[in-house]
Amino acid sequence: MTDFALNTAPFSVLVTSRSPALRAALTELYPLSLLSKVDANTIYDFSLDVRRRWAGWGRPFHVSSGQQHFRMTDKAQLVPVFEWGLNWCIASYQHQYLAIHAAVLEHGGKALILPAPPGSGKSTLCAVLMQQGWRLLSDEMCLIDLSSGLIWPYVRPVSLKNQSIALIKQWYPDARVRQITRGTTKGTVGYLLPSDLSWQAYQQPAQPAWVVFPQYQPEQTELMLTPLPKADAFMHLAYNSFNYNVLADEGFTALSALVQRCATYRLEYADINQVIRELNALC
Amino acid sequence: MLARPLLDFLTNPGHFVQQADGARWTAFLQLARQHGLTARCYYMLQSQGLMSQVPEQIRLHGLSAARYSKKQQHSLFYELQQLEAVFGRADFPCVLLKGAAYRALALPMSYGRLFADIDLLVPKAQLRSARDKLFFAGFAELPLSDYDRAYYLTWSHQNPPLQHYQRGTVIDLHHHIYPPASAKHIDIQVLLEHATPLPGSAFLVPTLAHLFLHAAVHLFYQEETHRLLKDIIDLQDLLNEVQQQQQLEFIWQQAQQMQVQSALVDACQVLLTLFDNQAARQLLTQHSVVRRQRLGASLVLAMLTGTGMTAWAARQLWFLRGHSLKMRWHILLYHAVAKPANGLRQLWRSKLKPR
Amino acid sequence: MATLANALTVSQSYPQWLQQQSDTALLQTRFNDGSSVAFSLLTHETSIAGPAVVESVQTEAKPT
Repeated sequence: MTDFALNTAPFSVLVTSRSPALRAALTELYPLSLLSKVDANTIYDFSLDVRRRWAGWGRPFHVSSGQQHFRMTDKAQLVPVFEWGLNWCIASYQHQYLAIHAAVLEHGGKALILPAPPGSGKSTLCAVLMQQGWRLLSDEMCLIDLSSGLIWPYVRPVSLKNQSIALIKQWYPDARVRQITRGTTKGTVGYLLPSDLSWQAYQQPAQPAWVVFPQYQPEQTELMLTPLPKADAFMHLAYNSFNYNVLADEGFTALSALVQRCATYRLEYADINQVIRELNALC
Repeated sequence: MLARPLLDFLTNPGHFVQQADGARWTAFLQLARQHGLTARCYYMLQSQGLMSQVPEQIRLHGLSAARYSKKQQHSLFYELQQLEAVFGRADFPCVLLKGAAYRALALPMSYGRLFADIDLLVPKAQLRSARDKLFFAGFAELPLSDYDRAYYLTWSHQNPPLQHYQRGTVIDLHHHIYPPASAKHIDIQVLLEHATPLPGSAFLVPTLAHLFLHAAVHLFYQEETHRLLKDIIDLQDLLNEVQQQQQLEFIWQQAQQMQVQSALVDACQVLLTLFDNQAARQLLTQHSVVRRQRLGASLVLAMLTGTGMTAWAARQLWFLRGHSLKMRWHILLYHAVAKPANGLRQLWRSKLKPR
Repeated sequence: MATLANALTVSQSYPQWLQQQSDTALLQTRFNDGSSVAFSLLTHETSIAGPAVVESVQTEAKPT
């Protein structure tokens, strides 16, 4: 057994695995200080089993949480399946925060929320802004504190897909993209390491200030940043939430407070440099 | 069974809270989620005044689960409200069973208790009428093979599950609490007769004694094991309620009338052994059946507390026992012959289909 | 912004809940741009509130 712990915040995970492969791969993605031996005095929020059943090389790995099976994978796709497995645990069980499917970055103590369905260019945009000096809170999950309204970071490597891997490398030759895996259910996946600034503040919340719904439009020549009625922004955020329905009146109240204090926009763009200029100008 | 830390918690939360280190809490969280008992444990901690001694992290995960269960509670109430008009006009009783009944009565055991569907009981003669009424309220049967549908209607004690076309809610519409085609003949007439209406509602609920007997039948006369821990803790809490409402004599008498004494004794033996349940002790002593442990009780205890081979062997025996109780030989034969034959027929049809 | 008088508690039985329900039990938020959303405590549905609902709002959410 090579059990180990991944001490991310606000959630940690205990990984049970018979193979050293996963831990070795994760050392490329997470700071070594966050990967540790299992400590009997620590409570881990989630537990993931990553192991081969019916022991033997060449058998697929099963990723599961207790008896709840998540997915089977071969060794080559262990990292993405692990990352998705961890997201799945959190999306299924945590209702401590209102969780929205969105990227979150911070500048000057204020948080920018980028909610968007897959294909809208959210991850690429998130990666670009981080490379431009914004602090990454999350590329996937916006965690809103139900009482304070603050956004808590959940710093993890930024998941880039397909063409965006090449684009990021082209725009930022020093960007650290690791563990590129081909042929996953989402195509080619690679992980951009969070900036040092992001890791240093990985337990520091931020005040929400802007909600921007991005949409990549290749034919667009001029960027369009249009104010969005707050009621519309509210509905879109609720729709993009993992647990708005579960939280019922608490979710409504928390989301109302967030939308009330944020400026809300729709962003249609083709040229990434225009986006950087426009979003930096917001601050 | 590997659920030991969770069982330890349920047996004595106070002791668990004092002793647990990080590793025990980590295992507890994992197991509680797996068995759907996180929210239930949260409310147990709250009602026993233990929350202040619990690590903040555990409290927050408990609260998370409690929010989820509260949403379920609302969904149930809302769904029942939608059905008030349907059953308000009906000329037959509709009785809430299991989780829906516990929750409607707000029994403390229902705090944080999760459920998957709404169980309703109507007299057998009105099953069809009830199904039609539900159909016009938006509930339709989930797609089933002809074989499975015939099986439900001929041998089981319920209609195939009904799902609301928009809200997704699932109703299990029963005409009995146990397959009437099985070797056990359970008389549910007394359950229906003693059921009382909920104030302001068209629905009825069974007495606590009948709720307990149903839960005991559900656990001890079948072969499944995946909800064992949840079922046991339900029985424990229900029996305490039965005692509080002074229905202990009544429950014994009702068990005899319904011909389910063996399930009652099995349940009492397990609860006495695991939780030192005083109501169980009283029932067993008064009716002098305390000495010999019944097979059902022994198997459940072995599955819950045994290790390795013992627990494994108990599971195999439990499976055989459950099946033989539920199905008489001719039904088994029907299953063994008709199901494969039906499969072959469908395979044949699919091969013949034009591409 | 909201009245929580109808919020569900765990100790509430179905008959108690039933008595308290009304079709108009709404949480409402009026945003500082004038738009408005409502949440029904009965159906748990969220909607963009139309003018009729907006007019019935008693207290507005405080702009920050």
